[in-house]
Amino acid sequence: MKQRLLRIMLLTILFILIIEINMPFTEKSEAKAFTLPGLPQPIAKAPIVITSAGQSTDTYIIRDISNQLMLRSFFMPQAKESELKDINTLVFVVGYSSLGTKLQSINYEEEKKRIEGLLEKAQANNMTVIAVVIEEGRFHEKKTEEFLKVIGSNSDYLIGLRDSCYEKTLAELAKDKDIPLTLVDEVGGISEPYASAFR
Amino acid sequence: MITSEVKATEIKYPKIFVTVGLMLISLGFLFPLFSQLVWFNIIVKIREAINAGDSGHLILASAIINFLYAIQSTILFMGTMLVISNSELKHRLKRFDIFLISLISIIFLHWTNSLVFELPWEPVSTVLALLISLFLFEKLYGETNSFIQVFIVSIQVFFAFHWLNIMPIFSAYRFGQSDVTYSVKTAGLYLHAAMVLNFSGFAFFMPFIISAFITATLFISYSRNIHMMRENYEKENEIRSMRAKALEDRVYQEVKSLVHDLKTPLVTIRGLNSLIVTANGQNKLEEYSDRIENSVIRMSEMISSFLYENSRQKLKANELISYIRAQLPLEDERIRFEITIEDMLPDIYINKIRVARAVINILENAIIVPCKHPSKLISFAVRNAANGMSITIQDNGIGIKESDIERIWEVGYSTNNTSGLGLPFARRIIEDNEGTIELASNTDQGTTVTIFLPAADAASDQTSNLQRGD
Repeated sequence: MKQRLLRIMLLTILFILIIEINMPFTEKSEAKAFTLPGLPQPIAKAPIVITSAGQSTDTYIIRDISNQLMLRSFFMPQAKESELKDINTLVFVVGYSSLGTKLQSINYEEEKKRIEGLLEKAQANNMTVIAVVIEEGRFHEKKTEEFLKVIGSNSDYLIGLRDSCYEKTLAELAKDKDIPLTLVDEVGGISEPYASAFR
Repeated sequence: MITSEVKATEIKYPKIFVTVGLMLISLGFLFPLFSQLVWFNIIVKIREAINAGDSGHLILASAIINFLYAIQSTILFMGTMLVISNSELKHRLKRFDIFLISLISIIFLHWTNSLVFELPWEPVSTVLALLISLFLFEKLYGETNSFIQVFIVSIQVFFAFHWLNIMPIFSAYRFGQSDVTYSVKTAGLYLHAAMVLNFSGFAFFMPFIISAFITATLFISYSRNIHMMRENYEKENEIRSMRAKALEDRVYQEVKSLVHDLKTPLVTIRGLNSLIVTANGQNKLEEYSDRIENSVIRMSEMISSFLYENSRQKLKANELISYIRAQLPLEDERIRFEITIEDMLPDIYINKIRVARAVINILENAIIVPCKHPSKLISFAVRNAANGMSITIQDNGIGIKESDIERIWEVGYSTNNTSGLGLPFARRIIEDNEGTIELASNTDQGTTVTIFLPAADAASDQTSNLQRGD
């Protein structure tokens, strides 16, 4: 009897653990978001500061795209408000990386404060803000979601990946704040909508 | 399918192993602290891959990630299993419950570790690798009792499964969803290197998982072979000592027999001694004294023959035959003896008492063998042979099967529920005296034993030493 009880308890604990581990994974969004393939006319211009919101390595992909498009841009993953002088466009690559923030010796709160400071400065200087989210897959990082909400509400253009765990958030932001949204099928497809923002 | 049939022996000093297990768990838990710089290096590698457009950096970054995950998982796994295997739980709970506890504990350790150090882990690949490792642990540790071998196998399993995390093809199945692994895949997709990542992952996963199973199988086979060899060695030792003891007992029996035979001359001496008291005349005294002397010499011969195994004497064949005949139960009506002794038998050079005992052993076998006929017939024939003489003992018993004939000379082997020592003993003695012994048998017809003893001229020249030690 005792052994049976113990076994039931162990199985219950295992079940709870599996659910807990599984929680960050989200299912594919059923909502169909209507998105533009790109902007019909440019909304932003150089010089551009490309910065990271969360210190993930995705920022380097946007830098590479920017370089390929020969856009005059400054790559500053940890850009501060004081570094935005004479800048017309601020591009946020949203993606939280715990390792990335540790590498830069900053924590989540500090990163959030930095982002908010940049957004305030961008608003004060009438800069164009573009938010890019490259993360796809099913693992939902809450901190990335929070950054996205903060940045997205103050953005002029949103670019993301279709079928990602942030698609729903992007779609809601685009709808609520009336922000143009482009969802692409794969990482390489970001180049076109990104270019459309400038040309 | 690997099966486990041999129980693991109990480990001494379990508390030491529990302590080591707890230390390993602590080490595994703190592993992210020690390996932080290496993790940072991975981020740098991913950046380099994007900057240079080179997917090779991604493969290297993947290898480092998987290695780090594999080491941490293996250390946590080994630590937990050390603690559980050497705790009271092992004796109190059933195997399935211990399996559940191990699984829950290790998953819990990984999960809390990721929360504490904010270093994401890979739940799917870790749990799959853990299930395989637990299975292999149960089979391997049960056979070999070696944590080193378990470590070698489990690190291969963990390393193999973590390679599935960098394969974009498995992203839909929740592999490779942690921060760093995901960055590798994203960079790979951007560089159009999805196929490279898929192929690399597969190329590492398959050999390592196969190697893990083969290694486990080899370890188990090796352990079983060693165990069998040890068992065989112990059994052989046991058989050897049993045989030695059996032969010792046999010798003791022969000594008893000899001691029994000594009684006869002693009785003679005693009887004659009592007659001496009442003897009239010197002639009678001399006669009794001579007979006492002869009895003493006989006793001395018998004792010396037994004490000095290798000593032999030249004697007439009839002396041996008479000594043997004196031991035959001729008065037993159930047994009919046919005794044939040729004339002009050669002199022989043997240890009379021991050879006689050997022949008597053969006769005793003929007497006790079951017989289907109304009466037992034993033929005892002594004939001349080339360069010697032959003694043939034939019975009409049930005989010996052809399949048993080769084995009857083995110590301890018997077809009659006897000690199985008589024939080997007899053979040894006959051969020590440069003779030969052969056996032929037909089922239900009987057995014939032929002993050949060389003539004294043909035998080796050895000095007898009957008087040694007198």
